[in-house]
Order: sequence, then C-alpha cells, then structure tokens
Amino acid sequence: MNTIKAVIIDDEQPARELIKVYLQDFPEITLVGEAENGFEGAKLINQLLPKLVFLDIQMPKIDGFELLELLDYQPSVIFCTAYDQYAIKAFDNNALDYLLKPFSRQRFAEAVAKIQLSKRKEQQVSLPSPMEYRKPLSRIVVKDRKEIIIIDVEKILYLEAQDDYVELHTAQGKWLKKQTMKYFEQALDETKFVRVHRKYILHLAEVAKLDKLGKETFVVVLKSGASIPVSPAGYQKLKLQLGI
Amino acid sequence: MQDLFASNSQYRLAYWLIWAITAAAYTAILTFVWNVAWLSAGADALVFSALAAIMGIAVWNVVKYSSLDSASVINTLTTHLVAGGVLVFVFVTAGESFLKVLPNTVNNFYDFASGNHIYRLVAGGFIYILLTINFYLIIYYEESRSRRIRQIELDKHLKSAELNMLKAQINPHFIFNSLNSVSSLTLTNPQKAHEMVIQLADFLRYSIRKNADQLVKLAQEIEAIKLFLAIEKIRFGDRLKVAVECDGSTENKMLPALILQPLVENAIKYSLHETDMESEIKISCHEKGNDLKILITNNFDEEAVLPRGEGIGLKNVINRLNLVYNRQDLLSTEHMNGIFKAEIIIPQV
Repeated sequence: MNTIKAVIIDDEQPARELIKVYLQDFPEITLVGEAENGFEGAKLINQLLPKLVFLDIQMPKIDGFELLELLDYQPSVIFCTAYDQYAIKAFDNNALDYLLKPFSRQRFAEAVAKIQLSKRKEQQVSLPSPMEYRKPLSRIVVKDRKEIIIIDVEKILYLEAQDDYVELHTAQGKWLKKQTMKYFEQALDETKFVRVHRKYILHLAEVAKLDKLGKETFVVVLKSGASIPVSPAGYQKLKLQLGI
Repeated sequence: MQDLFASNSQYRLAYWLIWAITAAAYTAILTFVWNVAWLSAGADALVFSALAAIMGIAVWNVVKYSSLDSASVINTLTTHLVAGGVLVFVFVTAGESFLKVLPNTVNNFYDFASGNHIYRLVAGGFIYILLTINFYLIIYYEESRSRRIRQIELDKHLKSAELNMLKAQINPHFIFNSLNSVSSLTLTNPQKAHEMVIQLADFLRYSIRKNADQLVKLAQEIEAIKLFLAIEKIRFGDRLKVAVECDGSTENKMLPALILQPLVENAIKYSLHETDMESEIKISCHEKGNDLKILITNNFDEEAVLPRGEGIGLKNVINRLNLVYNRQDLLSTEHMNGIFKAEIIIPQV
C-alpha cells in the first residue's frame, strides 16, 4: 500500500511536535516535511507534492489562505488553528477538516480519517471567494517562477483580465494571478478600485485624466501614461466615485 | 421629593437655628430701636418666632405638595393664597391671644402693638413669602444636586465599562495557542509543560485580578511581562530574543496594569510574525523628571507588506491612557532603519 505524504505548516514548534506525535498512530501517513511560515510552506508543498497538508492560518509572511493560492495543485488540507472565525472560509477552500487548538487525539483521528473518504470524491479546485476575513483586500500573493511576491494593493495601477488569469500592473512590473475579475471587483476596496470595463479594474488614485473619444466612448489616462478603455457602464461608476 | 426635614438632620438643625437667631435679632431691634422693655420684647420675639417656625413646617408641606414643575401656575398660586391667608391669620391670632394672657409687666408691648393688626399681618405675610421662596430654592438645589450625582456616577460606570472593554485585550488566541503548546509538551517534554502551565496561570491571574483602572508598581508589571515573554519563547523558540533593563529608581513608579502587554505583543507581532529574522525586543524604563518613561523597541522588515487590521493594540493603549490620565499624547511611536520604537510616558501623581 502506498503511504500518504503529508507536511505540517505551523509557526509554533510545540504545535508541530504535537501533530508529529499524533501522526505516530497512522503508519499509512508519512511526514515528508515541515515549515514555520507560509512562504517556505508554499515552496515546500509545490516541491514535495504532498497529498495532505496540516495548515495553520495566522503565520509569518503569508497566511494559510494566501499559501493555498500559491499552490500548483489542490492537496487535502486540515486547518489547525486557534481562530474559530475562519472556519467558514476554510471550508470554502475545500478544507478536509478544521481543527481548533488545542485538539484531542481522537478529534485529530476523525479529521485524518476523512482523507480515506475523500479519495472517492473527485477533488475540485475552488478559488477563494471574497469573505469578510479579507475584505477589503490589502495584499495579493503571486508566484513569479520560483519566487513568491507579495503585492501591496496600494501599489497596483490597474488589473487586466487575461483569460483564466488576472494581470496585476504595478510600477515595478506585471504579474499574473489565477483568479477572476469578479473576485477582485468584490474583494478590493470599492472606494479605491473601480471596474471600468469588462477587462479592466482601475486604481482611482492612479487616474490622471478622463478623455472622451466618441459619443459614448471614454478612455482613462493613468499617471503612468497607460490608457484604459472605459465602457458606458464603467463610465457611470467612475463618475460616481470621482464625484463628477 | 422625600422630606428633607425628616431625613436630613443638618437641615433640621439649621432651620431651628435660623429661627433662634431671628428671635434674638427681633428682641434686639425692639429693645434698642423701638425702646421696648427687653422683657416684653423678648416675650414678643419668642412667641412670634416660635409660631413662625411652626408655620414654616406647615408652609414646607404646602410647598412639597405643590411643586413648581408639576402643577399649573394658577393652581400653585391659589394654593399659596389660601394656605397663606389661613396660616397668617392663625399666626397673628394665636400669637396675640398668647401674649394677652401674659402678666402686664411683660406684655406692655402687646398693648402698644395691639392696635396695629396690620403690622402683624404684613409681617406674617412677608414671613410666609420668604419661607415659600426659600423652600422652593432648597428643593430646586437638592434636585439638581442629586441629578448631578447621578450623572457623575453614570460617567464613572461608563468609564469603568469602557476600561474593562479595552483591557480585555489579552488575545484569546494567545490563550488557546498556549494551551495547544502545553498539550504538546505534556507528551514530548512534561517538565517544560509543567513550567509553562505555571507561567500561564500566573500571567492569567495577574491579568484577571487587576482592575482596568488600577495602578500597579512597575516591578509588578515587568514581572507579568516577563511571564508573557517566557510563554511566547516556548511557542516560538530561539527566534525570540528579549532584553529588559529598568533603572532601580523606577521600580516603585505606578502605571495602569497591563498597559505594556499590548505594546510587547505588537513588537512580537512585527518582529517575529512578519519576518523570519531573529526577533530582538528591548524594554527599558527610566525616570523622566518625576514621570516614568518606558521604551519598547523591536526590529522589523521594512520591505514586508503587512496584512490589514494593524494598530488596534496601539489605539487601545492610547485610549486607556487617555481615560486614566486624561491625556492623548502619552504614547508616541516612530520607525527608522528597521527599528520600531514605542515610547510611553506615565505621569506620576
């Protein structure tokens, strides 16, 4: 029988130790690695491709949810955290289970047992939906080949739809993020970011001027010089936010 | 309105004292200004003062039951006209009848004044009006005073409720994460688990026992902070480095309980949780004039893009200091070259 590969991502050493002790009851699960922050955790998971991840939420650098956004595939995740207010969000992310610290050996066993059940079900990749937890979004994690980059949303000039991805444009460059425009439209602070077009979301602070091209066609010129088309509906929203 | 004369012995005493003084003054005026024999003057003063004092009690009851803000002006006025008429009439008749039965040597002033009922009636009416005005003033004063006391008590309660809310800043996650560490250590390192449970208990006891507005000695607060740090060290291991330096002269300075904890927690959060560097936190305490100055510094990653929702801890410290010392400027922070510095001044009163 093939063993199940697992990793532990938690910033507290005793917390990692406890899971290791509990895992001794499960010979079918092999611990292949552990990390103490979201950054290393994401790299570790993408490198070792474990089937099971024990994941803390509040961690240095990037949190557990941000880590999930950086994965190339969808492992089974058992969240281990002291924060009960994230439970709904965790299940939203197809969590296998959600363990509240401190948890018993028995509760741990119940969570791990679910991996056997979930084998039969086809694992669906779901993207996080904007939840109160992160609204308004203040930073976005992206992967640039092997590098993980954290982008402050204040530094974003505009967002552009690119098929299944959204391209984030900043003064330093542009990055692709596997996500929908709808997600960003909802998650970003609506007083700062406006969806002006099916393909574009603008950072209002970056707007230099609004040009009229035709009868109903407008274009926004950004401080950086880039021009962004504006749809009639987008123009109405823009007018509202800019107070013109 | 409760009866002030029944419940308040000070008012009772003052009332009789005023009439005693009035009687004495009246005697003196009759004797020295009107050249009445002092014995007759005294008798007249005594009889009419005593009667006026008794009338006063009746007036008090009239005033009490026709309060100015509940009844209409006409009603109140009518009540006082009727009551005043009756009382003044009784006052004059009773007084004169009483003086009449006294021996001649004493009541010769009565003979002098008996022809002049108007004089006594006017005086009686004047006393009635004076008493009425005074009683209304006393009632008004008492009501506004009790209103003020209620307001002050309300403010006090609000303040302590607010303080308690602000103090409830021991992060519940700190407790649950610590319990998780203990749960782990019981299996891997029972001796350390034992130590941690005791440290946790001591720290929680300190934070639960102290009232939010209670001032504690710096030495106590530092002791609690060391417990907190010891627990955090078990959780995060060698990455957390802490140095505490306090001048001996500051040990007995007073400060609000747990005012430092959110600042230290903040320092840990920025230096430890958002970076993977070694975290260095320094706490130092000095005297500044007569006041206490505490500095908390930590390193942090200037490049880090921090998640939202920061600064609640710092805002709470500012609010608490404001509630206790009524000053907004006691906490200041600055950051440069990767060092974050929080400086807190605690006035000594």
